[in-house]
Amino acid sequence: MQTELFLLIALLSAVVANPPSAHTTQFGLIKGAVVDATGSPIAKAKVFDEPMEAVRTGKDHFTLSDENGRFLLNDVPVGKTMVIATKIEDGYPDARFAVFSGNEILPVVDVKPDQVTSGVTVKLLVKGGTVAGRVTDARTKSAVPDARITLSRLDHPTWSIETNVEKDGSFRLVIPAMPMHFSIKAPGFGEWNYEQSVFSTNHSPMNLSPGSKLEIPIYLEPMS
Amino acid sequence: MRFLSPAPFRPLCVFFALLLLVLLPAQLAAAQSSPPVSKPPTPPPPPAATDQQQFLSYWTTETGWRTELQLRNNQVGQNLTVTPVFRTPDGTETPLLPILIQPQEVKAVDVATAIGNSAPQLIGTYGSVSLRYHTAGQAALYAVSMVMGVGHSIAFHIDATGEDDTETTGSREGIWWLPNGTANDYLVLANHGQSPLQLSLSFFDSGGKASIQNLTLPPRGMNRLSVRQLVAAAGLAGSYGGIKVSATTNAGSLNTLHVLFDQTAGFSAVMKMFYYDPRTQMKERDYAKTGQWTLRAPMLALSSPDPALAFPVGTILQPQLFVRNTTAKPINASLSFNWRSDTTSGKSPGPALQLNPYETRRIDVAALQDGKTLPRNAQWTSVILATSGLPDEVMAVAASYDQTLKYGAQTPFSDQLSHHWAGGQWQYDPYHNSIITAGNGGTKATQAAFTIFYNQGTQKYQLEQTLQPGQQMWMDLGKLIRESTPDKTGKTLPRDLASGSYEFRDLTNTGIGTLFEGKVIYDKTYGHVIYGCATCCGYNAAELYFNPIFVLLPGPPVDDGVWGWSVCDQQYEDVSTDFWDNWGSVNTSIVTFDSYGAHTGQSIGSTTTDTFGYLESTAHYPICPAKEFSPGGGANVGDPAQLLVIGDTTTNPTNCPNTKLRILAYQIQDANGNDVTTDVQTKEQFASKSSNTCNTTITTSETCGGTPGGIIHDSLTVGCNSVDNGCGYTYTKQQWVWCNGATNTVIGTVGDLVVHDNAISVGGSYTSIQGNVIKP
Repeated sequence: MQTELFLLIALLSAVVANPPSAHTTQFGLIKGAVVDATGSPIAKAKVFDEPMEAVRTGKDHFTLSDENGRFLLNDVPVGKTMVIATKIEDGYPDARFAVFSGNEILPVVDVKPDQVTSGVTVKLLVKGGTVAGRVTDARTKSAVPDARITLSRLDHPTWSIETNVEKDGSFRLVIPAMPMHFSIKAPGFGEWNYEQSVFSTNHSPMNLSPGSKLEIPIYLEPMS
Repeated sequence: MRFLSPAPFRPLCVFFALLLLVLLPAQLAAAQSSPPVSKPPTPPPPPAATDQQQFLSYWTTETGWRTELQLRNNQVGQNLTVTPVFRTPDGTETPLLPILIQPQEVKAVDVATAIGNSAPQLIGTYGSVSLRYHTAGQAALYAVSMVMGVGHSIAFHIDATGEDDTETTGSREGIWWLPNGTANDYLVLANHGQSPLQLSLSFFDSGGKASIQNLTLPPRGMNRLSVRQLVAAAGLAGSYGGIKVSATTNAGSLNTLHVLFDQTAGFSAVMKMFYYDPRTQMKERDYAKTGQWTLRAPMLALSSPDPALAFPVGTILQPQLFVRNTTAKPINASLSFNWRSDTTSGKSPGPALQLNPYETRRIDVAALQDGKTLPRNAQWTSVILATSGLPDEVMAVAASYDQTLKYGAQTPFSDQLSHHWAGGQWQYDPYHNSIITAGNGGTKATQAAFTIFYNQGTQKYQLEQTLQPGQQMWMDLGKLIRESTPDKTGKTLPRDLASGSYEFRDLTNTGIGTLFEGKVIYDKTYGHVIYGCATCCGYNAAELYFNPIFVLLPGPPVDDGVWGWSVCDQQYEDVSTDFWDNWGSVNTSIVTFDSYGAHTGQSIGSTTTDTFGYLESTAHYPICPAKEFSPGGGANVGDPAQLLVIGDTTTNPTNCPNTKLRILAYQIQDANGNDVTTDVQTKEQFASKSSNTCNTTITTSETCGGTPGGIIHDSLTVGCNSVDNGCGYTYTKQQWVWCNGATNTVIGTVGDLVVHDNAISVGGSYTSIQGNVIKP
């Protein structure tokens, strides 16, 4: 009865959150649990279905794990789907992006129409480190809100992420504990590169340890 | 695998729909008078980390002594790096290597070993320690210095403190005690600041007769004195009395420590000194709102000690209290006891005290164990000392030793009640055991949660208990391990578990809790018991859920609430209940609110709302005074009218890493550019949709659904195609629509989406459109 209620509530809440619109697509459900690297259940993790034989565009589709780490994902397009869990606020890198998760083996589920695939265990990535800071104009000390951050892997340079900073030039990223190229560009400014900065030892790439926090104020030099 | 067709669900769904229909009117009617049921939104980014410093007043590596630093990372989910800087009495500093501590882990550092590796010149000396780290609040670190007499049953637990440059005038108040003719003592006076510290040092006999002298401490320096010698030189008689160390400038840099030891007898005691700050108000320290300043000592060992303490059979203790009036005025006080034997427990009133100015009074608790005030077979009691004075005007020390002084235990007095105690190290092995207690010092029942952390803080064991006023829960760690007692989830502690850390949380009271705590560790190596204190965890900031809050007109009420920044956990916690009934607004013609912070739009416009409440806060020494916080923020009433692009990210998806993924983040805004932060119903629509040459089926968001926080994350990708070479699709004239009932409203026309496996254009742009405002 408890399981039925859990399923029903999760199903209803997920439907309310983001109903599908492609009526011709068939859907199934995935039930499982989110754990960390030690196998301990993780509550309030976001669980995403990332279809491999279909495409989900538009708004994010996810559910949250309950206090025992359990989740139920509804409206999953049939076929093979990768199930990914993230909890950035607790220091786990976002596993939806290859630049952070490319070497990890993540569960792939073959979803059948109107069927629940249960017993899926989704591991969060190993905890990463947090890099945070604020991008400012070295001359005026004002924020550079159109700065773009690029992170890429040393072992797989084509896997990268390019993203924006906040309106006030600040940024906060949870990245895996592995060597990464880190650079920042903005129109009208010279490129800033971590490996060429005073924060790098011997021009080595950024390599944060799990749970660590690196705060770097970044000053971009105007080109004229 | 269980087959789940839609059919079996139908009756349940119908039932649920009917239930909603039945309940909905009642919920709407109650919306303005019931506590909110919605979950709080995502907390704001954490406050900026700043340089932090705590100080341990004493370490020594002199012959016959050993010092261990115990450092606990109180943070949730974040490592902590601490750099210890050792100071000598003249103020010279020597930094050692940084120490990395995992969340909830306690790391023990043997000072002689650490010094021997990098600063051997400090071997054989003594001084104080500065602990430096970088967090958004000082209490991320719990630190203790354990000073032990090598080969003796001597050990001192010394808590770390901070420095307060706003405290100019103040004093540290203590009690001296000469329990026999041979006990030595150290009175340590430490200056943690960068300026010289002028001090006035006063000693009093038990009747209040004083002897005063002045001295100066150098910047970062310290002085180690002998009270026995100073008392004798002053001509004060008796075996106990008072100590006052006062400063009229930079008092917030002063830290003191008073310890007794007798290597022959195998005796040691910490005579806890109290911080007196004349600025302190009663309301800051009356946690249980009784109107009386109240001190508690949670674990006084009575005459017949608990066998768990493993004293030799037949050991008889002599429990006693020293109570001191630190002021020039008479003060009344009363004692009461919550006692416990191995079979029962109870409460007893104790004697009333009229304390003369500067008087120190000794209370013989053993004599009260006469079967009338306290049962003869009671093993433990908590001692409650209620006073007519202001905070820290009365202070007290408890001690319970046998006649030889070799066997005994102490329990410190404290007024602190807290919602969260972060505890240090506990031990259990053939030579050690730990007994930990928490009690309810409030006037109503409360739910207490006790958590043990082990395996470097990665594993936890959780117990919960409802505590009535005055009731205590007791945890014998060895017993929990030996008897494989299951926790609330059925988990047991590993049989070979030897140490870890712990915490208590008051689950009933979030902002100002009512729990007090205590811990003793028995060490069989030489046969002694030492106490340890946890640190209370306050808040140093309070923020509204939304600033500004946005309310639709017409629309449902929006719940606002308050986040408190927990300086131990280093994360926001929901403290909304402590701010109920105190909401206010500058302009109630624009927005109104109920007692619980649910905001309702009245007319389109902007105003501000605020509330106030009391939370445990922080101080430079281990207390968490109740402080008023008054978070406020803007309040906007309007309708969704446009989109602001707040994020534009391009990457490779994990499921198909050879393709591109572009994620747009749109903030819904009203016509004035105010962020719509509530969950509104939205959908997307297109003028036309091409076929997908990547041969993958596309699911879109063309049906109305929620938009938490008013932010749309729109993910664009082609899926794991097998075609390659720039395959993809084009959807023209993407529009985002506010589903506001019968007439949906377009709030943003993004333009054409050209999505290919190697490049993605949005509204004609392959590059970032972050910062653009997208109109209907």
